[in-house]
Amino acid sequence: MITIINTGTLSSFQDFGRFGKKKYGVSNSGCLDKFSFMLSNLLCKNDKNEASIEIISGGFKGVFLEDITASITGPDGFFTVNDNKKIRINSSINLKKNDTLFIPPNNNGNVFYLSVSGGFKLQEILGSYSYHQPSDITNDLKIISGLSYHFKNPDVHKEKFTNDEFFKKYLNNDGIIYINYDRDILESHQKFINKFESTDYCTSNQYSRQGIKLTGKKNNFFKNQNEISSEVSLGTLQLPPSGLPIILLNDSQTTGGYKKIGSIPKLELSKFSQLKPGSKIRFNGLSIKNSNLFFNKMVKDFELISLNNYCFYHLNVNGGLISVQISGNNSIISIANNEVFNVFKE
Amino acid sequence: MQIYNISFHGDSTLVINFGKGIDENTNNTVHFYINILEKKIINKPFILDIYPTYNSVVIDYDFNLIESFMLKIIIKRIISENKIELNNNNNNKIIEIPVSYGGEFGPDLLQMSKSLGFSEKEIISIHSSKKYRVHMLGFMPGFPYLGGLDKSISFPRLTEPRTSIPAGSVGIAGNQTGIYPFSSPGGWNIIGMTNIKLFDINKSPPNFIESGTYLRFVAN
Repeated sequence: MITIINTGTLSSFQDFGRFGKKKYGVSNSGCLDKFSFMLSNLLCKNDKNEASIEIISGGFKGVFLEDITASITGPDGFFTVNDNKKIRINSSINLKKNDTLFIPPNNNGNVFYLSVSGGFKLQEILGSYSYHQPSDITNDLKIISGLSYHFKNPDVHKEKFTNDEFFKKYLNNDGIIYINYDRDILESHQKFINKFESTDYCTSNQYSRQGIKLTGKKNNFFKNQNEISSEVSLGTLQLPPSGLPIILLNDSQTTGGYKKIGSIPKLELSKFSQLKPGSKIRFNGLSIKNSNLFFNKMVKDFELISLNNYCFYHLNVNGGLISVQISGNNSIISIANNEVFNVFKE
Repeated sequence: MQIYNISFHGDSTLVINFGKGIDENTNNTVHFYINILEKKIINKPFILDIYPTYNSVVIDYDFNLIESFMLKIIIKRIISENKIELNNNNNNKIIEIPVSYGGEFGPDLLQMSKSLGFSEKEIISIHSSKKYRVHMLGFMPGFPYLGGLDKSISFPRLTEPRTSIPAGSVGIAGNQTGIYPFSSPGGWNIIGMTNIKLFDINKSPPNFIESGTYLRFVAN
């Protein structure tokens, strides 16, 4: 069991999402960063769709009331155990009864996952364990401060970390976000595409599980629009008459009435959802065929991701505590002291 | 021959479009093919969601399990093998929604009556005399997009949306009428309230109103 002391901005249970329910007006929900979510389960030897706690913006604190292996994944940085052991994100750790876990906010991204070996004991709602923010049908799947959550089959394994080459290659912000344009845009609006792709946009702080608003130079191409409500999907890029794009995320409505430009490839959203407010981006068009090829390769590369065992040392040096993670081949994964959050790797 | 158009929205959504705008015949065609496609492919592992909009059938799929062009071929074949037979379609079902109109249940009815020049009773009578088409569900779980509002009682949205409208509220916005399944902020003119629970996760299916059917409001 874990007792929650602080949830941060929003913490909720998520899995891949709820499917087959859009005809009832229920959107998919599910994890924002699918790769970090799958990694958290890999590190805990869980099924890859086992429900985890998704933590938006960090600031999460909880006390474990029994021994278990837990993993924390997401943007590169540290989490702490009992306020003094600092462990690198994308590691699993064996926690003992009464250990306190803290995941601080982090400059490299927004979304973290906490998995436990054997999973959490939860009630399934409409075929999924994902919290859906805009309705009150899944309230039990929202994490609440002061409440405790039970484990299903608590288990203890060897502590593991992953080298983050995969994450560096695919998920680090390179300032480019791919988009699959809708057919009417590709066929009739080349001028719009030229202007859209040469505009610098910034992610705003209007960020929720429903969508992200962008800031930048207003685009008046579709100022007069009279769209009837139609399908939207995870990643849909809408351009309202205001001229600033909105990108719909997992908890968005199932239908929308603004002009649609296209959609961000589903797996590109792992990178996109980690962009801090104020991150500069440009869009780059990608055909559906090339998009499918690229992201199929990404999924295959993730299947090959390697996990390694490590040893954790907690040293007392000159009166200060230093946390060191060392891998099986004696290379240092991370060193951290109480003053500075620094990562060294060789 | 059925006229339709297949396009893609993003890397994992296929859209079969049967016409433009909001039109009952087009929406009948949409529901005819939704029923066929559900029978033929809903259990395939690559299908994630099949749902209707006003004029399209939308299919979300997993592109890791099927190539987009293959799915398009499969869909084209199913459509060509199934000629539309609207008469056999079970779409004449009418669901009745009991409504308490006006007063505390419909705080905007009085203002509408003043502006439109109808008595409150007349507005209620016009609103509850019509049969409304449920074109699709969306916006929020169980929310019906209804067609068929009498033009004489269409009314613009509130200039200042309310921060919270209670679940069960029946409203009018422009030439649309609808029911809020959950409490939500909104700019619709609220004319009444129903005590029917439109969405219940403990029921199967969870939605009280089904798309492709009809609905009638009955004054309490």
